[in-house]
Amino acid sequence: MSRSGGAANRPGTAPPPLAILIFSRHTDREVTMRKLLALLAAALPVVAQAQDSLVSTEQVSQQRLVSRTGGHYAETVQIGSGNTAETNQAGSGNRAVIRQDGIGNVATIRQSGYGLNAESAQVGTTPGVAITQSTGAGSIRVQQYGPGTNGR
Amino acid sequence: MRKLLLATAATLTLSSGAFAAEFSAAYVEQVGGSNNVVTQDQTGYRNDAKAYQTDGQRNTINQTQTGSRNDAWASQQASRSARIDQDQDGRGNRASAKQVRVSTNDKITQTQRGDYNKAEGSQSYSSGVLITQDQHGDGNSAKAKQSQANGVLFLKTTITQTQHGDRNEAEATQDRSYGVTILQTQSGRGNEATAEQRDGTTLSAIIQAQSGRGNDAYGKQSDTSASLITQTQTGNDSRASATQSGSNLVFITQVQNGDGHYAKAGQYGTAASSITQTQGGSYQSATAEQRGTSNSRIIQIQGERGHSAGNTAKAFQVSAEDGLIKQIQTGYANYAYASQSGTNNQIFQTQSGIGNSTTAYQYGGTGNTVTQTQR
Repeated sequence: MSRSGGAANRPGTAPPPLAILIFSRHTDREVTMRKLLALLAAALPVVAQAQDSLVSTEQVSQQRLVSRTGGHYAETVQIGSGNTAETNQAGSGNRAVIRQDGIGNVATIRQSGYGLNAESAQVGTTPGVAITQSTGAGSIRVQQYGPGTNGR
Repeated sequence: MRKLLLATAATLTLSSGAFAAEFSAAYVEQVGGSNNVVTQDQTGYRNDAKAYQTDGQRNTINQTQTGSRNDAWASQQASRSARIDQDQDGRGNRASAKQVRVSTNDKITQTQRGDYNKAEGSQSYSSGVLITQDQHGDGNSAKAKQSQANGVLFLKTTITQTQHGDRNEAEATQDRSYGVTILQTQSGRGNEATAEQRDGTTLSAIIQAQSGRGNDAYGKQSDTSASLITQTQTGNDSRASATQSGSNLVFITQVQNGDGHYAKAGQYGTAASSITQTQGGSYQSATAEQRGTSNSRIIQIQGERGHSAGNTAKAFQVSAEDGLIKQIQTGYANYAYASQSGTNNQIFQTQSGIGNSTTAYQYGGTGNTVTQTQR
């Protein structure tokens, strides 16, 4: 309001509410328009002042922090025996899937972040699986089919 | 007649010229002797210059034409240290040069300035020989062929083709040779470079470099060993294709900088071989395939800049043993796919950025390993 100028900004004169400015029949039309324009100008973005730049910087930093990594998807399919699969993910919203069919296969998933999802499905004998999630909440699903399975 | 020419041609210089002429023809023939020089200069329209030398040493044919729709033709047979120089300035000209059963240090040089010109050069049954073709303009065509042409120590057998302009075509072929090189350089738009080495070439190289937009590079080696194909492209929307078959210790390297490029590489029946594809920028696509290989590797690197996006890398190793696929991607929304069949193979997939996807597929083998890292 300090930039609007006009009669309403004289020292000691409080600015009337916007509704009054717009709908009052007793206010001069020109003065009303000037005040309305002044209000609109006050509402528009202005060059950042020194005291509010910190807030802006923090918001940007926060956005960068959130968007730095994540949203990945990794899938591994192995058919055969004695195979090894390892998936490492850092960040949020990641999903990892390992499917193995054979004897003595090993699956490892390591995830850190939020909103994680890990899935392992193994068919065959003596499979091994290890899934680790850290930092935030996530879901893990392990399926093993076949005799002599390990890791249950 | 032949003996007479042999006796008198020791330092004979023949020249023919037609200035600002149309439909003129000049024909020169030399048999035997040494240090012979044929010089033909023509200016005008639809002129013909023909020169033929045989059974000599250190002979030279110089042909210069200025104008349009001119033809220059030169041939040397059974010569030593022979040389053909053809220079054309204008539009729709054609230069043709041929050397047969020449020996070391023989050269064909063809230079054309203007549009829609054609240059053809061939050498056979020779060693340590050079074909150099240089074209400036649009819509030009350069063809070169070396057959049973071998490199010797300190004397390379090389085809060098350079084109500046748009919609040009360069084609080079070498067969049954060793120690040979094809070097193709193009700048402009819509250019096409094709290089092939076949039928048992060893210690051979195809090097192709293109700058501009919408260019195509094709490199092919068959029945080769200890050889390489290197393709480099800068600009946008260009395509590179390289193939090696029946080879050992062979390498394909493809480097593309810019956006929207496509790289394709294939090795078939090779051992101890590698494919390396490097792409910087966005919306790139790289595909590499190895079939029936052992101890071979595929390396794909995309998005060296952090803001690269939408890149796709696909790698296939079929019936492979001790194979390696390594894929590295940086940026956003990239996708990596790797597939292997066989035993003791490895896949490494590393992605940095946001929203990337990766798939690894191994089948029909034992002792295989997949390592995926996303951050």
